[in-house]
Amino acid sequence: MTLMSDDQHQDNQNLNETTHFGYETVSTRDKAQRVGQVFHSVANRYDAMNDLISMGTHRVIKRFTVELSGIRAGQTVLDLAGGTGDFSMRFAPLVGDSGHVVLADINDSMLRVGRDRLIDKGITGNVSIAQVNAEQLPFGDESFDCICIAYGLRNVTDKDAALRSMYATLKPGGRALVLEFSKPVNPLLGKAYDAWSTLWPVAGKAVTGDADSYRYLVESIRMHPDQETLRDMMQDAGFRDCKYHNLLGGISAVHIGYK
Amino acid sequence: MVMSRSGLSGIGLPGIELPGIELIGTALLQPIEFAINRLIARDPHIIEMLAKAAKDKTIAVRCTSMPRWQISLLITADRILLMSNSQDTPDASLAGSRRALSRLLFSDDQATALHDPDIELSGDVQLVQRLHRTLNQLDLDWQDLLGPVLGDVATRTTATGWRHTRDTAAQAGQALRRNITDFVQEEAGLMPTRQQTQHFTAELDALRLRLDRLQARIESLQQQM
Repeated sequence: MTLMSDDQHQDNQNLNETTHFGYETVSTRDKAQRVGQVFHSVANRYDAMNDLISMGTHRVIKRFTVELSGIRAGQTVLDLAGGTGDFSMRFAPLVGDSGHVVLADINDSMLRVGRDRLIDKGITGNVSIAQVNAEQLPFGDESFDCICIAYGLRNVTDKDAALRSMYATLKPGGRALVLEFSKPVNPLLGKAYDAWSTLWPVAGKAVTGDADSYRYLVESIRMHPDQETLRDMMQDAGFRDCKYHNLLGGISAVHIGYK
Repeated sequence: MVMSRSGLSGIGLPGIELPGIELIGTALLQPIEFAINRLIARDPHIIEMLAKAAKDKTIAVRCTSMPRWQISLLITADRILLMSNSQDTPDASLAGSRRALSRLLFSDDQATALHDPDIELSGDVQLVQRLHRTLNQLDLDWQDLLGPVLGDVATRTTATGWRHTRDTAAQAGQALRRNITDFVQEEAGLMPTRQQTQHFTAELDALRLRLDRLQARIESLQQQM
């Protein structure tokens, strides 16, 4: 009989446990790696592609989400899966010199783009950069007044673990915002959106030279929990007063929960 | 702008939520905020003074006349942020009709603009007063400020636009009143003209005098009987 170390045991467990990578079923260990490849591949053209596939609406949606954060000067914010820094750029002036924003992402390529953009915009004093795994946030419990994860939860292997980790890291009374693609409430809009999204891999090929990453994006959106399910997941993680706002008829939705 | 959770209130058909309507206020404010910050960046003194008066403070501004809207204004060390759905409790709130709010920026008599009965202040009132005082001290020349962006002609039009609009509105109001008066008096005959009223009043006075004389004569005759 061979004794296994904890790590080996964990590895075997990961190999046996499966999850979705778009429409594919993969081992949980592979998902993180493959999601990583997707974002390494698109990091440099990520913002341009966002503008293209959302027809610019992602900027307004992000701005709307920040407004819902209720952030004030002196507070601390975790911009989780913050990638290229769109949210950190908006949070930084809101928290002011006395507050702090942590731009965090698991993917170093995305973080590099985000860091460079922040520096180029002159936003340096009150923002830190951290490479973290959302499922196991390395910050102390009750560290942040607000945690925002935008278009990131979909890519996390264990979403429940990430929500629990976010809850632990949030200060009592703090607010979590989860902005994510969701399910259109109008079936006609849903069909139009589906048709539009089938073009994304083609656009992705043209702009970033990578169709597969945008095929994954389309598939992962369709596999992502709908509004009600995600709200239940947040409640299960411990958040209270959970609610959501549909944006663009439910194409995206921002969920809010409090600790 | 008044957002509740569905953007500008009052837009759309009853029971039908148009996709994206919740984002209209946010979308409208984005270019406005950009333009304001671009303008004030031309003179660092402006944001310095504003920040000195209200740094990191949120002021909610609500227009009570149609079309109703609400924005939150946050002044930071180097810019002004505008929000349409702010969930933050404002430090101060300022509400008023469109006319009253316009006066705060454009009136020639700034000293009384904040004391307009249409203006309602709540929260940190001193903050609003401080900010208003600062704006007065800055004495922003909108024409100078807007010039490089809009060009001379457009700027002059914009700068004089408010007064021109106000004068035009006043003239239109007077003309409307004259027309209504003419119609009611001359065309429809629903009300007497000023001359007719004066003539009627004079006749009434004469009648009252004759009645008084008649009354006196009757009393005199009664005493003689």
